[in-house]
Amino acid sequence: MFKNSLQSTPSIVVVALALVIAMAGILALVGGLNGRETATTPAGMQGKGRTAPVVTECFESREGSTSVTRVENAVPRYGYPNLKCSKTTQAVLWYGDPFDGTVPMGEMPDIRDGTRGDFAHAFVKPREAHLTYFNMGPDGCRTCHDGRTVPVPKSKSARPLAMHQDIVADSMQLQHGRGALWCLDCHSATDRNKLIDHLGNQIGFNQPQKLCGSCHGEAYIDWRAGIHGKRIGTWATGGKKRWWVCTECHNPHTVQANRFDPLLPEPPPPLPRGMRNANHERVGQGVH
Amino acid sequence: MNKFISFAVDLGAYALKGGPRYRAWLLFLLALIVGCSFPAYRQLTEGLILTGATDQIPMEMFFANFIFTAHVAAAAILVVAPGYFYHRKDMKELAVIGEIIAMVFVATGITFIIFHMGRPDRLWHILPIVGYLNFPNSMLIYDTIVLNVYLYLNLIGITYILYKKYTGEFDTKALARWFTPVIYLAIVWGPLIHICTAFVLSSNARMGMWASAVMPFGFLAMAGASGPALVIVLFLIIRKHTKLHINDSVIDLMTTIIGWSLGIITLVFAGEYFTVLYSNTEHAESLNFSMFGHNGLKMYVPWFWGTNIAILGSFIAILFPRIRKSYDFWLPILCVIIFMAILVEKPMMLVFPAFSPSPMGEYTEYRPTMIEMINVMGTWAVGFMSLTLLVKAAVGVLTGEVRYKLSTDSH
Repeated sequence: MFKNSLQSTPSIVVVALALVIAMAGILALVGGLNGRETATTPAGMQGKGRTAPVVTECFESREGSTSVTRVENAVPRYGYPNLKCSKTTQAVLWYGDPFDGTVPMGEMPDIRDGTRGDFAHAFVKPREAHLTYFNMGPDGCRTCHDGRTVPVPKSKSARPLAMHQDIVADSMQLQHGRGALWCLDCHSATDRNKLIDHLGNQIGFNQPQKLCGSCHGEAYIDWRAGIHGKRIGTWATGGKKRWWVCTECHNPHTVQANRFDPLLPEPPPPLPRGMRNANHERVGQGVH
Repeated sequence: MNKFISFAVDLGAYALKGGPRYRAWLLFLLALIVGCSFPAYRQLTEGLILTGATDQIPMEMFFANFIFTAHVAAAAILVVAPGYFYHRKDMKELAVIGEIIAMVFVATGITFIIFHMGRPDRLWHILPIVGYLNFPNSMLIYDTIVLNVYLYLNLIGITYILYKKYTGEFDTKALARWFTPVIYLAIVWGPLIHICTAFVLSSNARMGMWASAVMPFGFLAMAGASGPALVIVLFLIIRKHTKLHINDSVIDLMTTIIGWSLGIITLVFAGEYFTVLYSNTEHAESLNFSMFGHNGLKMYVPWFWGTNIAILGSFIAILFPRIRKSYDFWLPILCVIIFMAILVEKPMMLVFPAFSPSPMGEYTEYRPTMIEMINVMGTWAVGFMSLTLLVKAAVGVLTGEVRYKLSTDSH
């Protein structure tokens, strides 16, 4: 029976093969052409970003505070850059390594909140590196404020300053504390590389939250709980995270005039593939 | 060993033999399969980016079709059970065809799942020891286990029955000792695969339309309608074109099962719609989207009403003996309608609309890509090709046309 079935087939086999090859060709062509449907985005939504060159000079949280540079192929295994930055605002949108250049946050007081004083997995980007003001050297502020070049001031009360107008335009009108505060309430008079709280404790520039938190307790508690400020890193509870500290987002010298610089939102993502428009979103709340 | 080789060769030769229409059918399926091989290659190497899946609707046609194959695979035990549980003489012989349907549809379902995985080369990630079998937390692991066990249970059953009948050593008494427990296990396993599949869906609390306790009942009822619909068409073709005798009583049992199942589906749907729509809270948004669309976005609306009307209409139609007994005309048409209605219900009612609104309130329509549709078609073609060949071979063995003869392997 096996032989019989083979003998009667040759003509059919030829026809079949021809048919199969033709079908395969057509289907492969169709499949090849239509495999990828590109998402259609309404005009004006995609902005000018599509053809703009890659942004390399970016800032992390507020313009003029922490600037970072995009390095191509920073992770050679995947060909990733170290950062991806917004084409609209130049803000960093994505980190190749969220812990790049960070250090442990260090000791923090236990105030019986959800953290239980455990900050072992909290990392911050050190701020002390920015103290090389005027690029004067590794000693930072102490290069000039050494007690001799600039003498240690005797009083904390406000007086006109001839220097640092780029930070505080008018030293008699400090835009923080509504007249109750002045520079030396936060900056240590004796060691200008340190901050100082109202009890006289010296605080490093890497931990400004200890100083800010002594007055802004509500924001401080929220920040410790993770509902104020920004964190990136692992999702897991208790996992390693990079925390943004107060001064990375707020400029303490101008808070009264400008407490927070909101960033321009990114353009909306493209519509789901195959969707022609989002007109149904524009109709009012009437029909569900 | 020679015996087994000639078993395979003889069955294969018999399965390929047939009239011009049979060959045309096989060639048609072959053409589809060959034509789909390149799209399938692209799909399996480039992954899910080629499908219409989006952030809003991450499940594609492959997953929807998989659920349907699980329907039919689970329902195939309805052909096996009457013979073994109720000792119906007219059905005991046909049990092996039921097992073939089960095996083929489970295999087709697994093929759909392999497409659905996107990166099948990472399949080993779920293997124990070398990978990570997330047991007992992952529902998908249960599904993987039940599907694979069902596949091999049926493979053992089919091979054993056909081989023993082929060599003429089929002995009911010897059978009872170890084989009956295997068959009984397969019968129990059928609903089990489907309950597991239902739990894979209903365990998603976020999916308003899925997280429902009636999910397994609905699924089993749909299995009970779509599976026997295929079985009836298959049996009607077999008894018209081969010497295998199939009693009217078998067909009638199947129509009875379809009738009950359609009734239960109607009740399950009515229960769901009432429960969700009476209070009409946020949980009803998906169903409302299916029924009436959302601010003019209404791709699913005709499918929803069409499927519901088809199911309800088939239920009413099958209650009429004149339609039920019209073995040459109305019954096969009705069966095709039921089969297709439950097939399109999967993507267009169960899977895609359930994702709208998304957690962010987005309403989205699913647009399958051409390559996705071609691959779905190709997988179905493979399934129907295997079904045709295996059923043909089994019919040859059951009718005694294919028998082991010493002379056949002597030359």
